[in-house]
Amino acid sequence: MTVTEPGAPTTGVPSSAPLLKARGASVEFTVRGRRGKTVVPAVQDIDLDIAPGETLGLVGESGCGKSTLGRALVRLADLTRGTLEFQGTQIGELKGKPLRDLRRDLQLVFQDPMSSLNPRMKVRELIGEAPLVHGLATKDSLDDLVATALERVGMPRSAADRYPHQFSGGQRQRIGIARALALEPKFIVADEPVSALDVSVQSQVVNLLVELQRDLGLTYLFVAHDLAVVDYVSDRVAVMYLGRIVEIGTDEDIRERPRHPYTKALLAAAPEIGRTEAAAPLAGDVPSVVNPPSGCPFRTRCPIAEPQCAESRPELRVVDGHQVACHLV
Amino acid sequence: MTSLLSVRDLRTAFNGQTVLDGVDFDLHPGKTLGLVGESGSGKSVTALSVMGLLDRNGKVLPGSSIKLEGQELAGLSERGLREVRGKRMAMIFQEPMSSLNPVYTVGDQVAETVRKHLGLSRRASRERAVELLRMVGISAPERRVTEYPHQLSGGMRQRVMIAIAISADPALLIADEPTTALDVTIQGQILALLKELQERLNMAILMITHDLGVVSQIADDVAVMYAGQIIERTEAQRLVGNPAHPYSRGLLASVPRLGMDRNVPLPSIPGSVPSPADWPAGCRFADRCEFATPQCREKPPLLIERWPGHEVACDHPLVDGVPTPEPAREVVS
Ligand SMILES: Nc1ncnc2c1ncn2[C@@H]1O[C@H](COP(=O)(O)OP(=O)(O)OP(=O)(O)O)[C@@H](O)[C@H]1O
Ligand SMILES: Nc1ncnc2c1ncn2[C@@H]1O[C@H](COP(=O)(O)OP(=O)(O)OP(=O)(O)O)[C@@H](O)[C@H]1O
Ligand code: SF4
Ligand SMILES: [Mg+2]
Ligand SMILES: [Mg+2]
Repeated sequence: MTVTEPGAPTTGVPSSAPLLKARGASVEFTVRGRRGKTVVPAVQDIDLDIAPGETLGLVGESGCGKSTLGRALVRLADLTRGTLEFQGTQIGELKGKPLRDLRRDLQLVFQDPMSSLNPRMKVRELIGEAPLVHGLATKDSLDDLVATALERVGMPRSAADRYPHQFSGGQRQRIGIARALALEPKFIVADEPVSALDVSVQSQVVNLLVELQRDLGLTYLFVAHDLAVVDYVSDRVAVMYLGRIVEIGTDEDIRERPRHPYTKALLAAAPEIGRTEAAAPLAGDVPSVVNPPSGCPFRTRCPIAEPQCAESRPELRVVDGHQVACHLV
Repeated sequence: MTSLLSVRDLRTAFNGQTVLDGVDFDLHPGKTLGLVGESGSGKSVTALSVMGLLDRNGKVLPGSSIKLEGQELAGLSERGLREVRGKRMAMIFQEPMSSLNPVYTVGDQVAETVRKHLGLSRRASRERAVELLRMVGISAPERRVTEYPHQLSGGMRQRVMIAIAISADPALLIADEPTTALDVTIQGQILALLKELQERLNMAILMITHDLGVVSQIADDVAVMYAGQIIERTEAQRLVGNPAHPYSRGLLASVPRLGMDRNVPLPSIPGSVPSPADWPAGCRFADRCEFATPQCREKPPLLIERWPGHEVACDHPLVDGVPTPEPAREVVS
C-alpha cells in the first residue's frame, strides 16, 4: 500500500513525481454590475496531479470552468485559494521576473488562431517575439529559429514572410502551435485547439499535437468538448461540472466504465455516426455557477437524484478504480 | 413522390464571384435532408438563396430554379417572397440571439410573428404565442412570455426561434447549424424537439450541419457539398455506410470515434478546402484526392445517379472503398 498525503488523488495518477500539482485550487471572478458585486466561483477546490509527459483531457459544458482552470495552471489567471506547484516549486504566488521566467515553461494554445495572432505582425515576428524577449535567440539567429519552428509543424520556411490572414484556419493553428513551441515549454494547455477547424483539418492538427508530444516529451492539458477527440489524445480524462471535477480516470475508465451520471449523459448525448436512435436527452438547463444548487451541483438534472443529493455535496472518492463525486455510485 | 422543394442548377454569386455553382437537390414533404460539408462549401448560401435572404451584394444567377410546392422562387419579387417566407418556409440559425430583438419580450416577438402571418387579434396572438412556447417545450410559458432574450439560456433562445419559425405551420423548415453553438446535452434536446415537431406538423426539414453524427441521427437523406457543388446525394444510412465519393469517405473517416488508438494517426484529408477564387478547373477535390487521375483534373465530373437513389459527382466512384478504374459514364447496377 502506498502512503499518500492528504488531498492527493489516490488513483489513476502515474507514480513519477508530478510536473504540476494543484491543491484546493479555486478561481473566483468579481463582477461589478448595477446591483453591486457578484462573485463568480468559476473553479473550485481542484486537486490535480499532472505527470511529466502525460496528456490530461478536460471536458464539460460551456461555462463549467475549463478555460479558467487551464489559465490558472499556466498562471494566466490568479488563484483565489489553494496552491500550485510546478516541478516541486510553489508557483501560485510568483510575480515579476520569476513569473516571466516561468512563462517559458508554461504555454497556452487557443481555440481561435485568428484572434490570438496579431493580424499586423508577420509570422516571423509572431513566432520570434517571445524567444527574443527570453534571450533564446538573437536578431541574427532568429530566422533559423523561426524556420525550425515552422518546419516542426509542417509549414514551409516561406510562411515567415506572410501575415496570419493569408493562411487557412488549420495553417493558422499550426502557426499558433509553432509559436507556443518556440519557447521550448514543458507544459502546454491546449484550449479547444481544434474546435474551430473542419473535421478533415482537425485530424491533421490532432496528429501533429500527438506527434510533437512524442518527439519533445511535452505534457498537455487538452480541453475540448468533443469526447472522442479527448479520448483519443488523453491518458486521463477529467470531467467538470459547475467549476468542479466530478469524475476523473484513465481514458478507458471514462469511456468504458463511466460512473458519474453526468459523464454517462455526455457519452450518451454525443451523436455517433451510424447510430439512428438518440438516447433520451438530459432534461433541463445548466444552472448558473453564481447560484449553484445545494448539495450535488448536478442534482437538478440528474436522472437518479435522491433527497440526500440536495443535502450534502458528494466528494471525489474511488469507485471502480477511478474517482467519482456522486452519492449514489 | 413529388418534391416539396426542388432546387436545380442553383448558382449564386457575390459581387460577381460565383460561390454556388450548380446545386441540385430535392426535398420531399415531411422528410429531413441533411446538407453537410466543410466551412465555406456553400451550405448557408444555399439556404439563404432558397429563403431569398441573401445580402444585397449576393445574386441568384439566371437559369437557377428553386421550386417550393411547385412555385418558382428564383427571380420572384421581394413582395412575392414575403408571401411565402415565414408562411410556407421558415429558417432558424446557429446563433438565435442575432435573430431576436433584445428590447422586446419573448412573448411580444412570438405574438408579433403570429399576428403578421395569421392575422390574429392582439389577444388571440398572445394566447397563440403561449401555446407555441409550450409546444417547443418551454416550461411555465405564461411567465416566460414576459422575459427578454438575454434572460434565457442558449437552448431556450433556440426554442423560442423554433416557436417563431413554426408559428404559421410552414411546410419547410431550414435549420442552419441549429445546435452547433449548444452543449451536447442541450443539442440532444433540440434535435429531439425538431423530430417531434416534424412528426406533429408534417414539416420537411433542411438540416444544415457539419456534424455527420447529427445527420446520422436525424436525416433521411444527405447531400454532401464541396466547393459550391453537391458531390454526393443518397439515403443517410447508405452514405455513412457506403460513401462513393472520395471526399465523403475522407470526411467520414476523419471523424474521431471513441476508443481509437493514439498510436495510430487519425485519418485526415491532406490540404484544405479551396476558396471560390481558387477552384480548380476539373474536379474541385482532385488536389486532395488520393485516387485522382489526369482526367479528373481536366473535366469536372457531373452529378450522376450511379445506383438507384445514389448520385455521385466523381469519375471513379468508390465501391466498398475501391475506386472504379475506368471512367464509368453509364449507370452501374
Ligand atoms: N474574466 C472573467 N470575468 C468574469 N467571469 C468570468 C471571466 N472568465 C470566465 N468567467 C466566468 O467563469 C465561468 C467559467 O468560464 P470558462 O471560460 O472557464 O468556462 P469554459 O468551461 O471554458 O466554457 P467554454 O466551453 O464556453 O469555453 C463562466 O461562468 C464565465 O462566465
Ligand atoms: N455575404 C457574403 N458576401 C460575400 N461572400 C460571401 C457572403 N456570404 C458567404 N460568402 C462566401 O460564399 C462561400 C460559401 O459560404 P457559406 O457561408 O455558404 O459557407 P458554409 O458552407 O455555410 O460554411 P460554414 O460551415 O462556415 O457556415 C464562402 O466562400 C463565403 O466566403
Ligand atoms: S450525487 Fe445525486 S444528484 Fe449528484 S450525480 Fe449522484 S445521484 Fe445525481
Ligand atoms: Mg473555454
Ligand atoms: Mg454556414
